[in-house]
Amino acid sequence: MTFRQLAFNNVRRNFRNYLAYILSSSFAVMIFFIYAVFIFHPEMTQGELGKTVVQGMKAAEYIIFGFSFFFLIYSVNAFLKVRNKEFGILSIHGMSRGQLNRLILLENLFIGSISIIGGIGAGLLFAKAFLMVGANILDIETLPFYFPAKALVLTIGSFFALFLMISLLTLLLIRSNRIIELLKGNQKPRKEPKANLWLALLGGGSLTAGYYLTVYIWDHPSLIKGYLFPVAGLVTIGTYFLFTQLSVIIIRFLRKRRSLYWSGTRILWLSDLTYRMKDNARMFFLVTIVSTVAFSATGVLLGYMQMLDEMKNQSPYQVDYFPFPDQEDKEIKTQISLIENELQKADVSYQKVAIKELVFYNKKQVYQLIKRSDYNQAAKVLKIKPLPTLKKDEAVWVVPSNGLLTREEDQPKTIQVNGTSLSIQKKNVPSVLSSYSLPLVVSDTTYGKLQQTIKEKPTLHIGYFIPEWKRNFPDPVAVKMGTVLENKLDMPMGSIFNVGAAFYVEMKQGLSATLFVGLFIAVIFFICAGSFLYFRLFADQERDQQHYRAISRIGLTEREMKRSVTIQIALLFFLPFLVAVIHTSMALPCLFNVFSASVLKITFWTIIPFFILQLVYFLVVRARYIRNLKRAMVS
Amino acid sequence: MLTVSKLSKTYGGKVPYQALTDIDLSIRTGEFVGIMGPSGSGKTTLLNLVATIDTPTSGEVLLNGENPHHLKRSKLALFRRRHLGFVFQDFNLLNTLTIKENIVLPLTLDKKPLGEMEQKVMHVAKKLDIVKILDKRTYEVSGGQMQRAAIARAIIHQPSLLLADEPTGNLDSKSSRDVMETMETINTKDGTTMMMVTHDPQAASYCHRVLFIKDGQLYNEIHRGENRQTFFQQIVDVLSLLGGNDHDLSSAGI
Repeated sequence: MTFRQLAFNNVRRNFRNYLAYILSSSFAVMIFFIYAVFIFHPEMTQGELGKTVVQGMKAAEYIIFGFSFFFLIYSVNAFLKVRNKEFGILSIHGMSRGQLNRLILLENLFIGSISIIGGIGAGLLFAKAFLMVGANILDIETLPFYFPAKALVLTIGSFFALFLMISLLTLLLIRSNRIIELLKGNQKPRKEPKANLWLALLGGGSLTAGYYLTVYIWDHPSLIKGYLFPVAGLVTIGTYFLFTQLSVIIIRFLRKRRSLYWSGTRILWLSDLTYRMKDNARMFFLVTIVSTVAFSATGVLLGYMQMLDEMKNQSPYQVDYFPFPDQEDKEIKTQISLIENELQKADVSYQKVAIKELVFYNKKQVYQLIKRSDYNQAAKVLKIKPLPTLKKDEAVWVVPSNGLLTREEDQPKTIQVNGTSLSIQKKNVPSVLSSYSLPLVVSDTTYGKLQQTIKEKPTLHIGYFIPEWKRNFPDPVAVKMGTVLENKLDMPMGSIFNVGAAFYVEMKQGLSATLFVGLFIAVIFFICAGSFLYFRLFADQERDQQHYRAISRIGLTEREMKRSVTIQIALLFFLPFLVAVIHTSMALPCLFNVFSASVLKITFWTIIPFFILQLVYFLVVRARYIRNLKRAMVS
Repeated sequence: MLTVSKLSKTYGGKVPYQALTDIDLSIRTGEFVGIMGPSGSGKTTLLNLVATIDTPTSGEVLLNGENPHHLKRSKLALFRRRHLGFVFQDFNLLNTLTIKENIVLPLTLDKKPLGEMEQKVMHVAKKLDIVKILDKRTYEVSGGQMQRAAIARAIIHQPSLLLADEPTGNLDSKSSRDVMETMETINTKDGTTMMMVTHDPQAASYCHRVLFIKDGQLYNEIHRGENRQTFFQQIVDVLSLLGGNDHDLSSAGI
């Protein structure tokens, strides 16, 4: 047996133990490689969106690399700790420090090579599929498969360097010196963990304060900007002390309640939990925060996508133009003719609507006034019922039935506009402006009279109703024209030009691209978090085997062992998950500014796939762990 | 009480190994029996078979007329924890639990009422003089105290049979004496039936009767008379006849 064979056999014969580690790092390598394939794809740099996505993916590569660094260093250390006894035996038989270092280095490089080869192999296998999905999401023509030489070099180079760096770093980190300590390994009995009551109270306090503020923001969405960071800080601190201090105190409290604690297998897992919680507290904290960020980000993206679909019909017109009120009339006219020119060129039939809005403030509320003739002119184009004649002091408040806003309660029955009082009559009629505005319609005479009392110039809304584009949404002609016109018009600040279809498609693509790039990072985080848990568990396995062997001799049934182990592993897997879910469900309503059934739905659908992934992970780990413990137990 | 008849155990594998051959033995209620023999003689195998931790190749073990090896796997663990008590060389205490919690463990697993557990643990702790260490952790007490705690755990549910595997193997001579005196007290006062495997003639001299096993077969049997010192001498004599290695005779054991 040569030295290299020893290292190689160490890895080969412990392959099962290394499996989760190798799979996780292979997965990271695979995603890194696939992103690199995209980044270096010759056709990605054509088109605005492609360039943006490449930028995003480059950022993602850094994140994956950085995260892999921490993941690997943690994992390698976890493995080495388990093998203390083995190193002790090797040392006692005369293996020098230098040889031991070389052994560890060689082993790590073996594992690294396997991970790189596995990751790139899987990457090559799936690259074609990813390119197809990517092209579909980015809405570009198919991205043909190519031989990704650059991506290969980048991936192999980066990860080989990473594995080498990690191996060298670990050598510095492990300086467990005395052979007797190595031989004893991790069998030393440990003192019961203690918690600091004040820190626990601080944790509980910041968590409560954070949540209280979150609920406050639900009702006052405008505060989110100033409160976001303090709240995130409070919750982070709270979570940290929840796991490191509060958990210990809670378990101690439970252990004091004998009637609860001294019953069946509870005495086993609850006593064990004290140690496990303290040992894993920092990892729990990290996993919780990473999961919360991953869930929230996914939730926000999905939420925006859904909101975008709701916004599709926000304007009854297919093309909207709001010139800035202070703009020169001449300038506005040239802009309008430019738009209409393009529309004629595209050979689509359109009807134009021009509505003047008078904006005024009353008791801090903004009101828009439009005249009846403008409403009816638009109504004719949009084929809706015109409004009947209005009295001098009458105003109809247009509340679109499909509208997103319904501020009904706080509307007065009458309002004063610079000395003129108007009695308000609410009507559920379709809006002729965007569904976001709730204008008051008054008679033309009243409008004229009020206009003289209001200093601000009325805003102009020009809408083009194009039936063809409405039927076929989003019409590719419209999308193209949107981009063309936006470049041509060169809008001054304050004025808005919008082709609904183009806006929709652009937003949708942007969100899809972000989701496409971001989702895999979230999945990497998640898988690695699972692996962390797995390592922790298997690091303690030897101790657990002795533990259960001891009790099985006195008479512990297999069922009781399974029960106890299942509870322990379930807590390990689902406690951080549960806390992350609670954090996310508090955060998402804040981030959407509204609390509604749809937000709940989005939150739910964001978490379910992660939950299933976690459940599968849990079941696999549990089955393996129980199988190993069963071997340790006497019949 | 315990009847073992024609008990044999062969370990399989490429080279089958006959660990025990046709062992017959019976222990009366309240008896304290020691099993001795050189390393590899099969004494621990015998104990494991009686303890239902291992299954015999042939022959049977009857405890109160019942053969526990006919029980299902899941029932077997329950049988052990309700009818047998165990004392091991390495104490087998869990260091995540306090001494008190370790002692009540068999009752807790059976979901006995809290009051009963509290009362019983105090009762045995007083008897074994370990009341002071009840709330300590395993790493805070001495080996002798740990072994006495383990004995407390073994007898808290009043088992029909107490099985001890080298109970003094890890202890110094003072602690060994303490532990053996404790066992003797339990045997005489409570009438607990005991079977102990040991290397240590000193420990064996506390028994009523000592059986010697060599190469998987019963070799000899001697009974204790009035004097423990004489009994000790007899045991040493038989051991030297047995022709074991030197360390089998030392009182320290391995």
